[in-house]
Amino acid sequence: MSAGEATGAQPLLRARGLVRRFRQGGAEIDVLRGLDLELRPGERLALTGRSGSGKSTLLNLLAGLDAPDAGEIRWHVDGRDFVLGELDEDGRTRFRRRHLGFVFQFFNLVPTLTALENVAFLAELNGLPDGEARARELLVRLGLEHRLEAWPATLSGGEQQRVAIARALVHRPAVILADEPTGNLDRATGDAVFAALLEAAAERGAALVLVTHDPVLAEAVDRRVELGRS
Amino acid sequence: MSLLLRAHLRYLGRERAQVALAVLGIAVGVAVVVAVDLVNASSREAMRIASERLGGTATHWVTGPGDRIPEGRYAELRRAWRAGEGHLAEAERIVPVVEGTVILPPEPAAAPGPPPTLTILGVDPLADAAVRALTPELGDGDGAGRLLAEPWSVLLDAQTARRLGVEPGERLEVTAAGRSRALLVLDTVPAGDAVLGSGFAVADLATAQELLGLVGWLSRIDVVLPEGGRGPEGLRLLERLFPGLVVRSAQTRARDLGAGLRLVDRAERETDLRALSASFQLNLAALGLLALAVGLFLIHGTLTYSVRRRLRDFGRLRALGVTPAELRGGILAEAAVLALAGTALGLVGGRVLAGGLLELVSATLEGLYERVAVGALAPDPVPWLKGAAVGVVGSLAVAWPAARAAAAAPPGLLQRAEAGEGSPRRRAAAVAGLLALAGVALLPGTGYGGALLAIGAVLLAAALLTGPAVAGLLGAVARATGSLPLGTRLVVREAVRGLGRSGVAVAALVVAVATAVGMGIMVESFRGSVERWLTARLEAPLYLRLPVGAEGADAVRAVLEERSVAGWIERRSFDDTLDGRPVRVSLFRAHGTVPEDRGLVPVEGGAVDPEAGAWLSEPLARALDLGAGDALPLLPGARSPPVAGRYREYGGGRGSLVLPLDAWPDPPPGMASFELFPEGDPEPLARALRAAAPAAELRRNEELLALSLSIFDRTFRVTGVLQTLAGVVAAVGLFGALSALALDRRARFGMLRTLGVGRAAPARQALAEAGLLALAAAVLALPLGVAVAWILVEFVNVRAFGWSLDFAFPPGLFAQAVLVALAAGLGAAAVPAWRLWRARPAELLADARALA
Repeated sequence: MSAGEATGAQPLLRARGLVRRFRQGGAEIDVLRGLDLELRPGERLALTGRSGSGKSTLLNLLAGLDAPDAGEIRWHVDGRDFVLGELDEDGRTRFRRRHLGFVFQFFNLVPTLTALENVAFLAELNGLPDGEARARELLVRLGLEHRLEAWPATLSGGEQQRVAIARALVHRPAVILADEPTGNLDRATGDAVFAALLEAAAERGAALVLVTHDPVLAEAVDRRVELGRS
Repeated sequence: MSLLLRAHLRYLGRERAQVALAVLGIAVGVAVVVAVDLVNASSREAMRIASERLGGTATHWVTGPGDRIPEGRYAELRRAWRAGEGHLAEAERIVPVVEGTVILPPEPAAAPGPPPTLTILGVDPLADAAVRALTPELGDGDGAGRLLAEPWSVLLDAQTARRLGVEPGERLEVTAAGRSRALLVLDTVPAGDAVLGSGFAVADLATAQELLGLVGWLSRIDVVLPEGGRGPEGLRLLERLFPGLVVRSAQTRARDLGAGLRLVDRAERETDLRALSASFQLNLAALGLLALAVGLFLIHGTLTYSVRRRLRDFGRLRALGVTPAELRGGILAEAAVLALAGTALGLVGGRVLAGGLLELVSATLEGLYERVAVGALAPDPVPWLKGAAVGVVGSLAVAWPAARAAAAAPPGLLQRAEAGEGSPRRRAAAVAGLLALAGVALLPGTGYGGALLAIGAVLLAAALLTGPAVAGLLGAVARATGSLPLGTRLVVREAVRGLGRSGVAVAALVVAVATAVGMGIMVESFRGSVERWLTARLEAPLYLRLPVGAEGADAVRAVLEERSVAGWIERRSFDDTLDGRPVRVSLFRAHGTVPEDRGLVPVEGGAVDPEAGAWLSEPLARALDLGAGDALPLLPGARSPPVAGRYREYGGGRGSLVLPLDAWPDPPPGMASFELFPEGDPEPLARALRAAAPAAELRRNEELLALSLSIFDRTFRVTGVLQTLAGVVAAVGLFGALSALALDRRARFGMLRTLGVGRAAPARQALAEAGLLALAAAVLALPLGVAVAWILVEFVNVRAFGWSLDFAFPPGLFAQAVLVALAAGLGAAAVPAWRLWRARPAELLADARALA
């Protein structure tokens, strides 16, 4: 399998020869077979492909949530190299906490924290002293100044995803990993949320890896890698 | 099977862990109920068999003052009967009986306590065969002839013979009336499978009289009157179904035969004896039901939560045309499967548990009621059927609200997976109703059954309030932690949010801990009261006892006078019946300087002076409703002085009556005892007394105190075991609830792990949450436990046993309850926490996708 490669400066991400197999019934299925991938700082990349092509699997590998059967994932952040395979579980957790941001299809806000607290939670995890102020600023920036103390259950889908975007950015990560971020929203709301995501990420200089089925979103980013094609 | 039903049952297959826990909960509950019932049934059966074996076809007994009849009176009655005259003219048979107990040699490695005993039944071997089908051996002339001819010969019951390893032809060493005797065992008497633990031996009348020190006396005369049978058997079934119930016949209680002799209905007399242990059996049954109730909480919790999770599915099914009744039926079918599996396991477990409980219950019965010891489990079908019925019916009943909630799911496709708790207004009404019921149950006249019902109502009301109360408590904690880091606040908020799932299990924990606290306070209050009572009762440094028939009372008095002992109290004690109730009578006289309270602890009546009137033990006074100044019911053979007061006593069996020695001019044979108050070291006096009266048993007061307290502790061991079992069921419930909660939250934990939360955090949160819930449960359980203890101390014990207790608040017990609750909570959360710690983030996240 081959995937597009970035050119130019020191890449933010360099993945080489990624292989991931799963057992299903008695058979082994290769979801990823020797995938190479690079990402530049601030670059916006879309991962597309049909269901089962390995988009979410690749996202899990890049985040260190899962380990490849073969290959290497090397992140270069803040002047340092992080080879995920060489980090232990705690090391991968600390890397994820500090340098990655996540946006999920189903928002996945903590239901027992308010909108403001959900965002401030990531700042607190990273030990940032002005977490609440940063969270407030981001939420205001995303148009949620009137919903700061609202519980997730009382927010609309679009509002929940904006909170999730704020949460993904509050600690100024190097990259945002977004898994179908508009998949659970109607077209108009989805477009607005996606625009907010692109804008907020660009403002903070974060790269974006976007998993999507939506060709419109895939066209809106810098580069597109379609999985499942030789 | 319809596809809908199949879908319901497959859901159980998918939720194997939860199903297993619910089945386990109901199984332990049913097992405890069945075990307690089996043991209760066995103790009743032991009494019945003993009664049948020892009582034969006798329908009535002739008894005399002090449960003794001068032998000459029997000869007169028999002459009159043969001549067809007198009160017994209609009798088919009249035969004399001497009954008493002898002491067996202590068994090796026996627990501290009273020595093992054997009942001796002295009969006329030739005449008795017509009344007691005791043995074929007694029926044939040869066996009876040998019993008459061989000196000191007996027939021993087969089970006791096996237990003691005695073969026919061998001798058995016993102690009676202060002397040792070697009895020749002629043969054994078949005793059936389940028999009295203490066993019996049959001797001829003269041998028994001499052995027991009752020469010239009979214990009773057995009479067979035509149509003098027992009450209907159907009523006995009621007693088996409802422990604590004793059905009395409406027949007259006794007929006066003159000269102090009375003709009493044997069934009526046995009812009185049965009633003595009925309240103990009811207490055990109530504890068994508590364990079952906690198990039913589990079924209720499991099904309620499963319905909440599936509301969206049920809405879809309703949209497709499934009726509410079909959905209700499906949930009840799920409950039936859980109930049947749990009940089947519980019945098997009950048999195993009963084997273990038998010894403890037997020890308690022996401790409280002297002679009733249970040797083996009785093959009674009633406990099994009752256990199966309460397991299945109870499960279906507690499943009903969940079934109704499923049926109420509105047709549609977008219901949320969670629904709110039951209507607060309805719950408030239920709580108010239960508390009103508790109040009514505590009214005078509702007996100890009413008091137990009140405890049940209070516990149920508390269980209904647990969810909102814990939410309130945790809400307060959440507000108090408002300035703490979000991670800490998250734990408290998640605990509140999880109450929909864990609330029922927490309620079960509250009920179990409150019951343990209540019982603990009661037992501590009891122990403290008994210790104070014993300390006052055992004020004399030295106690001397002469068994019935033993020589030496005069020698003892001579020693006491010769040595100028400062003071002593002399008692002569024997059993009798007062107003149809078995009592122990003590004739009392104080000499020299003795403590003002005379070794009695008054409840009512001011300064104790047993020589001024009749003093009644508290349980006896309560049973007969007698107080100071009342007239004492007629006691044949005695002058009956007015009641002077009541004194404390904590015995389960006969009540006690203390009379001045001269109130009974010609007392029947009894046990003589002396409480001695020597000045200085009592040992020289003890040596002199041993030399003067070799048959005397001498004990120091501290020795008696330690022995009494060890019997007390042994008596309450069984309640401790049953409480622990109820606690185990509650912990199982909590484990199930917390596991389900952890399972539900895997997706959220997966998301948190993805965001960079460390791997220990979810496990820490699960543990912290469980700890918080357990702590909240303990905080609620403590005042509830005090309320339960109050009802136990002020109502149950007073009504059931006639004991008044001094309330004790042991702080150690409260700390222990909190620790036990915490251990249950943290123990229950340990496995789910460990699983969360072990899970990789990708696995947790996969759950999030699957859920979505």
